[in-house]
Amino acid sequence: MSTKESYFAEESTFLLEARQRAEKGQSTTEEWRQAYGLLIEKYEELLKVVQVLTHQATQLEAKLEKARAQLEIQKKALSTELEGLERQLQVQQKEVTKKAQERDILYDRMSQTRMMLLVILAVLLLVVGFTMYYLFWDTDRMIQFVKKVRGLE
Amino acid sequence: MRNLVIEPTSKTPKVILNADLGVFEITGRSIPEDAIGFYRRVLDWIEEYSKSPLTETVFKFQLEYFNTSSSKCLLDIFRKLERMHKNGHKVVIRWHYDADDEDMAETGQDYQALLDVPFELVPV
Repeated sequence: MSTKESYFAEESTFLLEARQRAEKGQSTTEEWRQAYGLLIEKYEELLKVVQVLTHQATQLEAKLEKARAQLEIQKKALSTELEGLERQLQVQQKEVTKKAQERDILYDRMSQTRMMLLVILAVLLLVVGFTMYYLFWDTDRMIQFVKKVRGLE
Repeated sequence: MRNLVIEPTSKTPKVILNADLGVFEITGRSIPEDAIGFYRRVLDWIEEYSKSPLTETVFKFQLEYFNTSSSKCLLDIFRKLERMHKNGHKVVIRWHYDADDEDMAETGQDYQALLDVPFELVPV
């Protein structure tokens, strides 16, 4: 018996018995009347079951459809939100790129300034060095130099 | 007779059939692909139980969702309980449903109309 049939095993068995009885065809009128009555009873019962199941299946389909529609709405809302987030991300990425460029420019300037300071420091050191040298180790030449500058010689 | 307890899964309900305590319950959701395979044990247990039932059998159903094939199996269970009732045993079916769930209430009414056994609708 297939799965589909096994859900209606009792009904299938009854139908099989009814068919066998009909094929035999040896019953009396009273037996036929009784069998026919039973068949009607079973048919009515089955009809009611089918009505209930059909009704329930329709309800389930409606529920599924409702759920599907809700999912569709949520999907659209999520999609819109995602687009918004992507746009925000692009803006932020641009900003980050701009900031990075600004930082690079700033680094360059700092580097230039540092170099300039180094040069100034080197020059200063040179001047101070020369001054110290003439002041402490070669004082005579220093005096001559000062006199020369003042026009005393 | 041995009690039957089936723990729930995402697709099958919890089943408690305890003749010692007089607890008969099917709760949860029932959407198995092979509903007949799942409910066969339940049907067999009730068939066995119906041979010598308690003085009163109150069967509680509280399902949040079930598929059509489960519905047919539920009907088979109801039929067995209806047969017990017709054989003179006291049987009550209590159909618990979410008070907001109109469909489940309607389903209970459908069963109620179909069966000749005390069938109570209990909104929760």
